[in-house]
Amino acid sequence: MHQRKARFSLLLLLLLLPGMGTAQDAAGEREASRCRNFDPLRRPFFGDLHVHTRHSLDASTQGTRTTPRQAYAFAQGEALGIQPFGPGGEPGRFVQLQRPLDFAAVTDHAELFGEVATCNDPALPGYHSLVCRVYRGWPRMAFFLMSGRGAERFSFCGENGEICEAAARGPWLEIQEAAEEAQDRSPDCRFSSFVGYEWTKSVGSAANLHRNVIFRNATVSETPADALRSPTPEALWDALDANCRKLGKGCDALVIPHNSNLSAGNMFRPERLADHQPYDRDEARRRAYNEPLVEIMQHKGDSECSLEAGSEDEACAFEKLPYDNFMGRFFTLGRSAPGPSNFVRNALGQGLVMGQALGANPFEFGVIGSTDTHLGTPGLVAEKGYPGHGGAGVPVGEVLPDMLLDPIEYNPGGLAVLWAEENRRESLFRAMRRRETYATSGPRISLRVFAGYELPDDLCNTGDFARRGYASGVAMGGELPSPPTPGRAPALAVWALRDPGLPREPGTPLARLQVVKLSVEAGQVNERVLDIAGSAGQAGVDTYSCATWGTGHEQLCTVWRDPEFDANNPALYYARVLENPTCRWSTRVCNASGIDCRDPASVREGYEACCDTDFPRSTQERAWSSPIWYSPGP
Amino acid sequence: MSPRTARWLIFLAAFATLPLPYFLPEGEVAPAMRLVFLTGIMSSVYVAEGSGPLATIWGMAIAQSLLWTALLYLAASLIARVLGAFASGPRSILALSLVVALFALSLSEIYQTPLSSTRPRSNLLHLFE
Repeated sequence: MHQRKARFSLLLLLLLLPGMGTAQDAAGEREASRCRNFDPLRRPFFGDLHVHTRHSLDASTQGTRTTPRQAYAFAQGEALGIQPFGPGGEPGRFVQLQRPLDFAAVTDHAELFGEVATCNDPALPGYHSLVCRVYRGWPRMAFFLMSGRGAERFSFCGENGEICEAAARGPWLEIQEAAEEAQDRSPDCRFSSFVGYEWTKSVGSAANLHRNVIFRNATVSETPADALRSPTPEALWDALDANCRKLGKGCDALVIPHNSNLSAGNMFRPERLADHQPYDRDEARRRAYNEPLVEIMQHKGDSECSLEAGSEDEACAFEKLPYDNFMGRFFTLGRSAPGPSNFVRNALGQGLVMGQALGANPFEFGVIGSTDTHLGTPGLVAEKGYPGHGGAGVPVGEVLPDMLLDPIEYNPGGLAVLWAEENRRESLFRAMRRRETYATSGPRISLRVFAGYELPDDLCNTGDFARRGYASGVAMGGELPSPPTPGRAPALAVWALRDPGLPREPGTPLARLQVVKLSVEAGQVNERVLDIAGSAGQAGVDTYSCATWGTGHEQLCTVWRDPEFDANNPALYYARVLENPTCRWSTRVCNASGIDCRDPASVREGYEACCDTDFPRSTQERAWSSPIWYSPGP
Repeated sequence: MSPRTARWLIFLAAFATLPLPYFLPEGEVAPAMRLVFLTGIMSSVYVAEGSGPLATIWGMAIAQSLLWTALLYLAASLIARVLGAFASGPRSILALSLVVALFALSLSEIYQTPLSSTRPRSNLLHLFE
């Protein structure tokens, strides 16, 4: 009897063993046991949550052939051939990441999935339509004709668009399958992928309201909620509720707006787009829940703040686009410079005011960076060798033109960094949901922020920064409680470590660490930007040789206590760390092409922008933390 | 060669070769012939697919095509009038020289054609690729 019991127990144990230590997420998505490098105090994971492949109209009409599977393989370190392609399909260029990413999401434009698929597949009805013939023969023109179509479907899509909607299922399934295959479920946890898409809505004269939708796991909406069927942000949130969250299958998603700098002031309007009704408390909460993050930096510029838009923070003069909507890229006459309402910092301040008035802050968001690559090259952010944006940039065609391959105002984009326990979808998604995230303009800088009333002044020297930070404070993205005693000011503990780079190409030293504080007093937003460690002007770069000079820091760490804290006023704090100056991508291309702005004869056609003094020749890479908020009690 | 023939010859040569700036909405610098060709394609799509924001781009193309064609015709007429002061022989030589010069120039990559599927800079031989 005992023997039989023992055998039964052994059998039961053997049956249960593979499942022990597994994490079963809410979707029923089975993840393997904990990652080998699981860290309860969390680690920074670097990735790219904004990637386009051949399924996006603007990428495919610029010759991009990268598939979602290839994009994920590229993110993990494989080489990728990109346009121009020869007659036999041989790529004219190869690109490869020197350091693989930890995670990525392919986020193709959802709106014309079916049209693009139809025009590329002779087996689908509509392939021989006039529009598809123009698409194949004159792709760049087709881009303008097709993207300017608005909500109306082309006739080849059928009476109710059913042909294109059916064709759209192919790319959407391929995107899901590619993400599933790329997911590393082994204990090594080398790579995570997310299913996603871009909701591509513009208003007025091509003012950008674009948002990326990132799903939590493999359980996703049957079809993407595109801007044709869900034409407002509110309709998008409704669609995510109806077709994902409320299905009770563990589906969840978050929405990440990007390029507020190109929104002509529309991205952070505190009103519903459909009826222009001002947000009430519920709507403010709904926005904050659906959109917990904003992409602050990508190919098409930085959206943090602007000197021209009223800030006195000199570091705002960084990767700024000189226009505030997409048309500005093509029409120099009548361009409008981006005003304050285009920028993240302004929205954060406005959110504080609204939070006080409504009891809910619609703009309580954290930040990430990403690329928005239209070449299917996630994480290709180095200034050196930047191959171009590949979408709204300069078309390459069949021959690599002898010219700057991107409008000079573009840049190689940034990275999203998530503080998570392990490199698993669930853990990363939770980091996004609690906004424990930050953005970099490309380098893999580590940045950590805690705020609290009891953080010790010597926290940087204790060797216990994270444990004590979590124990005595809140991390970036969090909310400070009320002071434990009246008059007690919060402290911010900020730590930054320079990008280690590679042995043959080390990262750039750090220059300084800053805190940006926004507070509300009598309904007015006050902005303060303080250097809390390091200093300016200790280093520089010769932009003709790209040789750097001066000193910098391996790491910077300090505990800063707010001397002007007023417990009666709402406030927020975020950290920014700046590297020493280096050559901008355009300067590297111009120098390598023999352009010397001191010698006008050397400035060839196609390189005139090299010497445009409106654009800097150097750059100062950086990282921005998500804010930490303080609200006075009711 | 009559002044009338000279006018048409110069007009057609300029129409086919003279680089002109236009926006569709990507900016190009190419001959009016290419602009009219692109306008033709857009018109076909517009007729087949109807209104919407497409009308704006189509309207831009039509307006610029008409404008540049008219201006080129006007310029050719003025040049032909000047040439009318010359005797028939020298007039023919001057008109043909101008035409040859324009075509010779057009064989260099002087056009900016980002709307092309193959090359953002091209010459007359690759204008319709």
